[in-house]
Amino acid sequence: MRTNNRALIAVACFAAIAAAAVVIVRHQGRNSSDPLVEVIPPNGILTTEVVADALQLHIDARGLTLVFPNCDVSKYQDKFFLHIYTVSKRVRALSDMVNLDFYLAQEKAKESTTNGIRSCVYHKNFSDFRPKEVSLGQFTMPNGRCCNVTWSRTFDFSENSLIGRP
Amino acid sequence: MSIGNAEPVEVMHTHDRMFGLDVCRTIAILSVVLGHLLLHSSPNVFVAATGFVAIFGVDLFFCLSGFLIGRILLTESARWPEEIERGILRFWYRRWMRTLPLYFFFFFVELQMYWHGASSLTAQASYLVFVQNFAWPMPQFFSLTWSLTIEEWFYFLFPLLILLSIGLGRTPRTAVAVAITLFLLVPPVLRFLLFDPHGAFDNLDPNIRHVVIFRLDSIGFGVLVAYISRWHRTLFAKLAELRWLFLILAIGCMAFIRLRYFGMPETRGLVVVYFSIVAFVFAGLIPTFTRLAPTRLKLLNRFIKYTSLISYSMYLGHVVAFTLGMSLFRRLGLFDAIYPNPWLTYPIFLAMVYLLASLTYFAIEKPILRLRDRRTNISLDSNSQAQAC
Repeated sequence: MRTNNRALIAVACFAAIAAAAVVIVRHQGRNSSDPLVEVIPPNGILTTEVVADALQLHIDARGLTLVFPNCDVSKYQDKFFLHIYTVSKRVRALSDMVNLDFYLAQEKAKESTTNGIRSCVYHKNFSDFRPKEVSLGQFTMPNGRCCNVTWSRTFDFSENSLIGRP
Repeated sequence: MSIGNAEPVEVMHTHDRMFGLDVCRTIAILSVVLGHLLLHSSPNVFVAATGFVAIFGVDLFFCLSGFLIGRILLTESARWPEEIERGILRFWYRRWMRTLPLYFFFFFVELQMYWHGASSLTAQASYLVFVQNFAWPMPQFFSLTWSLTIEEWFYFLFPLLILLSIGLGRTPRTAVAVAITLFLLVPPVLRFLLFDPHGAFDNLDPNIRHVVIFRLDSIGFGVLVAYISRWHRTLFAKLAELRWLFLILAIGCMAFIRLRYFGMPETRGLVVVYFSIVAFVFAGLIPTFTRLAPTRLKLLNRFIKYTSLISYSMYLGHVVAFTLGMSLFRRLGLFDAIYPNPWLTYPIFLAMVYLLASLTYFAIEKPILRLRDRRTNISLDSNSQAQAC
């Protein structure tokens, strides 16, 4: 068996380039000052659809911002849950959760105009908590039984990633 | 459509394309498109319940892709001991010219249209190098691309492993066998080591199904079939004869998902084995597909061939086409009249899918492929090259 050094060097170079690209992009993602953004369709509408005036969810280490284009909040009347976890999920207990559940109707919105579109903006600040993870979404309580979660997302601060289910 | 029993593989293709593989790709893409289509409008409950087959359309795609690209690699890698980096770079150049332009086109469409400009290129930088779901859950943004990411990492890693083995003194044939073995063994091991089953079954798609490192074995099984077709022709012919067995097993896999794992406990072992079995079963259908001959219905043959030809555009563009359809309904003030009626919505949506896919195929894909082929004027395993493009 004769080794081919040129082939081995080529493999090492290509692998190093790929690894560097992955590390740089992941590192950039974790340190990005841009908030992660998702469009959340209202209850019953699919994520594969583009919904006019759907909720835009912006989240970063500073806080959560909900943007409603054209101030159309009529389809988001269900209660929002916003759970802030201050310790890692591996070791946390129920008491480590800060519950900031809210209804939009109880919150104050700021109005802003972007590209000629008027929006209502709601903001929740995280700076008081030093959270490790934030879970948010909307839920209903059919027949008083808790809880039918209509959508949820979990934001992991260590990964700067937003995952969840539609 | 007929299945030839005894004819060798080469008999069943015309004009550098195997008709049966066009059938395979058409079934795969239509499963995906129809699965997503059924999420719209108000289909009959029983019809809507069939939408889950979209999952298996992607599995079929993976196996087909592994088979076609595997055949190309089997041929090309024979020259790599001499060509070394030139050989692998040519392979990547051809793959990337095939897949990246349209991907980036729809990536920017997604940024601007679906997200209404709410997201930014910096926020979605991971999509530029296909690491959005490399070893972590797939984000919601442009979520359709999870399967393409798995393909892209296969295009990158598999030939790299071949070259590594060649560098270590193996023959190209052994190098391919080593790469296949690693591709079949490593993802299940990673699924076993890294998957935490507690509560994860509710989010199995983003946590496992859509994650690159957990799914590369799906394509690996396709390459294994390509290897068998090249070096073990008798076995390949026997696999084709076992078509009913593989078909029944494929239906069993679908029932397994539809009936919630037949009540089996949701354990780590289930996740480790399930994806390998599905890939094995769908890869086992590939030899049968290679033997399908064109039907007597010329129109049907042309439909299959054309759908297969524009399948990549259909895959990336079908959700955008649905969106355009809905925008059109709204602009015409007919949304409430048309959208709830599946008999009106589905034909219009399908027409828009074909229209948009044809446009992007002829405006983007084809010119770039021509440019690519002008620069890399090679002729290797013309069937696979033609169908993998």
